[in-house]
Amino acid sequence: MESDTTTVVSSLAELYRTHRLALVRLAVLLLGDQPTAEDVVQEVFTGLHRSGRTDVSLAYLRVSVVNRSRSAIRRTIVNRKRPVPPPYPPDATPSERYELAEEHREVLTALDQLPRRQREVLVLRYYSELTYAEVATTLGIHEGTAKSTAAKGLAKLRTLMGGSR
Amino acid sequence: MDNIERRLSGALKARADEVTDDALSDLDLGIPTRTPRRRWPVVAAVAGLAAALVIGLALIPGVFRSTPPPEITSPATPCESACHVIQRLTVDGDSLEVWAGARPDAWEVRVRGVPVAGFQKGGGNIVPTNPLTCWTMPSPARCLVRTTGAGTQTVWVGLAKDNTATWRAEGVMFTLAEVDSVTAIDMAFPRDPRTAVFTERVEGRGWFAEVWSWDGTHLGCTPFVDTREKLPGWPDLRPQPEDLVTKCWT
Repeated sequence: MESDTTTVVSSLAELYRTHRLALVRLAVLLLGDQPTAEDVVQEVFTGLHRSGRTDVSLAYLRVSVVNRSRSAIRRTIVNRKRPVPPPYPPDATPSERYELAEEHREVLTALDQLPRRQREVLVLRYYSELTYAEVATTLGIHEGTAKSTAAKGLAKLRTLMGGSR
Repeated sequence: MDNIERRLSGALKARADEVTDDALSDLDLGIPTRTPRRRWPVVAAVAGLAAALVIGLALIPGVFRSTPPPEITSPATPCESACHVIQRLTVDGDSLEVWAGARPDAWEVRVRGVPVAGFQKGGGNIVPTNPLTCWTMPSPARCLVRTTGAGTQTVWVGLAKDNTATWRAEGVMFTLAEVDSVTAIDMAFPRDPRTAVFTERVEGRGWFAEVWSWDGTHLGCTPFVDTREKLPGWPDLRPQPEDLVTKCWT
């Protein structure tokens, strides 16, 4: 029994090392702040440890992160952190750095104003680069709903950002 | 990919790239659940509980109100004399006990010996054997207490562990007397993502899934299907708002 437990912990640690970066990044985009995102991913693995499961796919982990991110949003106070400006490319000129930071800030601020479902669909589609079928599976919705939600989200982004540049 | 899509993709990748692998902590399985960094104030939790109970009782659809719902007793109200334990479960590290009094319709749930919820002479609704069903996933831990009525309904009391690790009664749910299964799922509903999905069957009509928010808000039912395998997502039922009709049975 003890060796079984050791095997489970060892397998989970390996699974965590393999996928933690992708999962924390996904949770950051859904939640807006890294400490909570890290907590969410840790909770996913704690849940796996409790259930003794190690034979899970990245798709399963992604679903768990999305679901737990929803719970985390519910737990936390509504005034979420605004997205911080992303880092500059190392070879960008000062002017380019400023414009790029402003560009990303504008997009992320607009994204943050979307309803949760639209934000989830857009993050899974345009960051995780999932197909609509995969997005639908991850969120437990129909593929058509995923497509229409993405279309509404993009339309709202266009409006919020004052039209496409 | 149009311009908005390119800008979105670029911004998301740039934000994600801020998270680097060397800055992430190692897996920590020694701590069951990590403390949330921000907590609801205790006062808000108490007020929320009161509001949830009021709303839960107020929003029960008339179709299920064949008898007046019993009142949840205040946590300080003990069950009647001759209380005895009829079920004991350890959930998320807490010992939950269901105590029943001399009358089976007077019962309460105690956590670590402290009364959390119960019915006091609950209008004919009695606790059957092993009335507690609990889940630790999804988080937070939560339970349903099943009570059977004399009529055609089953009354469920939703309990959940709040951010202060305190168990509280959150709402009352009503279903048909015969429930095939119940699952706890976090779903994309606007009020409260914590939902209970009940699988029920009506002779001659078929199967349907009924969804209640944990705070006692009735969210709707799926249309009838002739076999339960045709329910959305069976066996992992995950009906979405668009799958539900507000009025059941019609």
